[in-house]
Amino acid sequence: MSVTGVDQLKDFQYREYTFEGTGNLRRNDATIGQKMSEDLGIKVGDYITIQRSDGSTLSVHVVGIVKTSLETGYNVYIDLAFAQQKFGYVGRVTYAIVHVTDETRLTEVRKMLERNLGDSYSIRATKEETINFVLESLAGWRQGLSSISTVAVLVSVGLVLNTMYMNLGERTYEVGVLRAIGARRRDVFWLFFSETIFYALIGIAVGLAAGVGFARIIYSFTSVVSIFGAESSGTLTVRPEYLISGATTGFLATIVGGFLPSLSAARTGILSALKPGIRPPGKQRTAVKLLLVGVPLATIGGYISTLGIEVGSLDIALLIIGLVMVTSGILRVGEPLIERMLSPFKAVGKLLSKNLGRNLRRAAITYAVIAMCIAFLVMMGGMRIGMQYAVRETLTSYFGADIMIFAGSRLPASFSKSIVQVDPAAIEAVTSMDVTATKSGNTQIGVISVDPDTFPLVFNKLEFSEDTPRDVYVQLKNNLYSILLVEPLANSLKVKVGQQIPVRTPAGSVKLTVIGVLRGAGLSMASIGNVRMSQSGFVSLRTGSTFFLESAGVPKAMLFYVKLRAGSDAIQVKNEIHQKFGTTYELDMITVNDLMAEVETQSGRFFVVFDVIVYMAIISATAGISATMLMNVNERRREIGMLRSQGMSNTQIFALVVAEAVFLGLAGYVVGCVAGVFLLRGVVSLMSGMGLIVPYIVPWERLQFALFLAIGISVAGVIYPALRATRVNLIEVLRYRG
Amino acid sequence: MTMQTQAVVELIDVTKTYRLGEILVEALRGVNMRASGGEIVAIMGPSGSGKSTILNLIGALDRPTSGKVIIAGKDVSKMSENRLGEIRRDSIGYIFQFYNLIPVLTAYENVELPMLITGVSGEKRAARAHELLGLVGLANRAHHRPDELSGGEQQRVAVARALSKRPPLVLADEPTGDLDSKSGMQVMKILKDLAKKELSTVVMVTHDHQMASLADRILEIRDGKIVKETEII
Repeated sequence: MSVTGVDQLKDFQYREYTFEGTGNLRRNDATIGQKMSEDLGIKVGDYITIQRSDGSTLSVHVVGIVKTSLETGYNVYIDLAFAQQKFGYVGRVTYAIVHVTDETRLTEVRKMLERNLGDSYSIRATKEETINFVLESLAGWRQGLSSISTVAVLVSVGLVLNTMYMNLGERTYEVGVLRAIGARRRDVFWLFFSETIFYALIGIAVGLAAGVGFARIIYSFTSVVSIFGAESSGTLTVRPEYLISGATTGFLATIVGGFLPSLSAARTGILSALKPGIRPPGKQRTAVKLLLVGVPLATIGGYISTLGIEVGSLDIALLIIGLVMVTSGILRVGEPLIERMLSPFKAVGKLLSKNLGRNLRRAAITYAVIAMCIAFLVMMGGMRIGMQYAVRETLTSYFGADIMIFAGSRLPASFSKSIVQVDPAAIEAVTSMDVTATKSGNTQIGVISVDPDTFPLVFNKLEFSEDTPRDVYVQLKNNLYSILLVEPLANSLKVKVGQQIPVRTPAGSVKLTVIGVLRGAGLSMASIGNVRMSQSGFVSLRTGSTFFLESAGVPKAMLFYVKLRAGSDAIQVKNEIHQKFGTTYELDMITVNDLMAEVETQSGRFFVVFDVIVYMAIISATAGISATMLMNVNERRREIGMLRSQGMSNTQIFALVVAEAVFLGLAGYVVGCVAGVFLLRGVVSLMSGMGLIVPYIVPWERLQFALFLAIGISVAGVIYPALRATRVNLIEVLRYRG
Repeated sequence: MTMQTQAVVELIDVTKTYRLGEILVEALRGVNMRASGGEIVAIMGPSGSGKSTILNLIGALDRPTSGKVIIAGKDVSKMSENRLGEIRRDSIGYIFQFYNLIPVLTAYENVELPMLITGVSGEKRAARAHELLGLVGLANRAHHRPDELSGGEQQRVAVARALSKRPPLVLADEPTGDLDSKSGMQVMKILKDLAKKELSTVVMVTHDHQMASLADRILEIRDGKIVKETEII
């Protein structure tokens, strides 16, 4: 149990708590944490007795219970002045909390305090560290999202281009009439271009409203942020610069997409517009050209994405554009093969094989929309599997412990031996550990004190760098001035085995020799308390108690890791330990399975946010397919009529339209899978470069799911256009040329 | 003479009424006509007289309001859409004013398409398509797409396509309407020769008296009724 004296007027953190009862503390009043209240059954109005270090007791009246889910251990809050008086610390405090009103100046304030107060004070900008950690952790995700956004913008340009060309196709006669009665080319250009601008403005308004709404949905999953150790600030702030950049991007995408069709409209000849028969056929891009441009683009994009460098989404944009061109080229060049493959489907197969390479630009937009969706799904799937793998590795392979015990206060490290005695038949080994947050130079680090004898018994699958000596644990035990660093910390401190690092201690500083470097994805995912494993070094318990504890003496520890013998029941052993020591010591115990379940629940919440983005992308892709196929059906109404006049049934027409969409979906699936795998690789490399090591695992199950999804999106999007195709009025479409 | 042979198409007291908003338009008012195997019938009349409506009914694209439409011995007046599709597939070939070729298919593939739909085997399809393209003088243009062919050539492909599955009935809606007179005459002669050779009945709607003069019989229609029938000897 920890007793904290709080300054009720100035402690902003305490003032922000929500209480059952009251938070106002008079002499002899106390508030307690929710966990303590629930575990020990203490209610408002009860009295609790606190034992002081000299053995005397202090009885306090519980006036409130702090409602917070973040609390660990048993916490009692009493008035600061009362605490100082009753515990013999008059005029003294353990720590002071500084509230910085301007968050952008956190680093500046921290540095100023460090400069003015000197090394005797440990100054930690917890919020800044958390923000930095979250930003670092999200760097890869940001890169992934940014790439997807770039592709989405490109697709939007394509959609505008398609829509405006279709618009022009339908209104060519109107353009001819306008030109015939005296409209100039520039008038026609502005007629179309101003329409584009009008659509842009509507799109921006709808997009911004939808974006803010979407942000609110995402924000409603605030609990996910807590996996990084911080809660949300409680309010959603939409920064004006984001709105401006969104609006500008949307506007530019629309006018870029609308420019060429407007120019084409202006260039339309009067005679060809009025007499369709003399309209020149559209230019057909050859498969060779598409392949010649597409292959290098995709190769360059793919190569850059594996380098793990931020290039403003250029890599993924190049990759997807290249892949789309290659796919289009293959569809055209592979037409005879596709035709042969589809020959059992007779007329439907024949027409399908011809239609696939028919309007490459439009088809390409469709692949790209689906590819974007699939790429994101694959990337997210890979990240999810990679992170879960890393966490599982951390918990099972690296930690190798079956039960973790957190003591409410430091206990003699030899307590581990008492734990073994609880059930020697079931317990193979217990190792004790203690954690201190400190600094090396200006770098925040964690010092984890371990028992070199038992640590390797429990953590028996740790990996070391090549230059780490085999007898590293012997050195750790025998050399008081030795430390074993985790690789990301060794990298950030730029030290190698054999070199020394200065580490701040309560008494000043101590130089420790790096005797080894620990590796592994799992380590980067773990934290002990607020100490990140990736930014930590391991010392012996003797080193820890000698240099890092306020009062040196017998080695002490707060954490005890229990490794069980094969076949032992973790829950049973946990209950036995609780029975034996639960009344004497304040012990929090958790089994690996419980922890795994908790971590998976937390990471599941985190991924829900991205799932929501995927669902939005799926809706967009479905709408994209629907729009493309509707354009195709509208353009081919006369053909459909002709096919019906030749005796094709409605079912065959329906199948023809659906099959075309499914083929486009499959093309998008292939592009999306390749792009997704490269995107995943890029994000993983980028995150690893920042110390958050996630293994690169291709999510095969996601790839299989994505296949069904691509087909599902295509079928869902094409149903309406296919039904429209079956409802074509034969007489109308066959008689007139439009 | 025509009464002595089997009727391929027969209309008995056919009426057709359309609703245009609140107004009912009587497009056909009790039309009776018949055409026999190998006969070429031209229907002429001013715009809105009902000639295209007749063609739509004979072509199983539409159903009459009353009366009977008999094609190849089957009354199609009350057939379901699926059955009408079968009639179109098995018994009718179409030639449209604007050719209506599938732009992504070559001339050969366009001719082959109706046979693909009816399920004719590959070898027979190829032989028939080549034969017809030869007969319409386009053997050397077989692998060109419609946008690479002139209007006259496209319409010749359409004629070959209409005859490809040897239908008993060929319907032509202003088949020369989009062509110059020379090309038009060329197409009409090909159509006539092939129809006679294949014993297909041709019912054709046209405004052009010169083209109509190539038919065996001309039916003149006004205000939804056949007002004159002329046999060309």
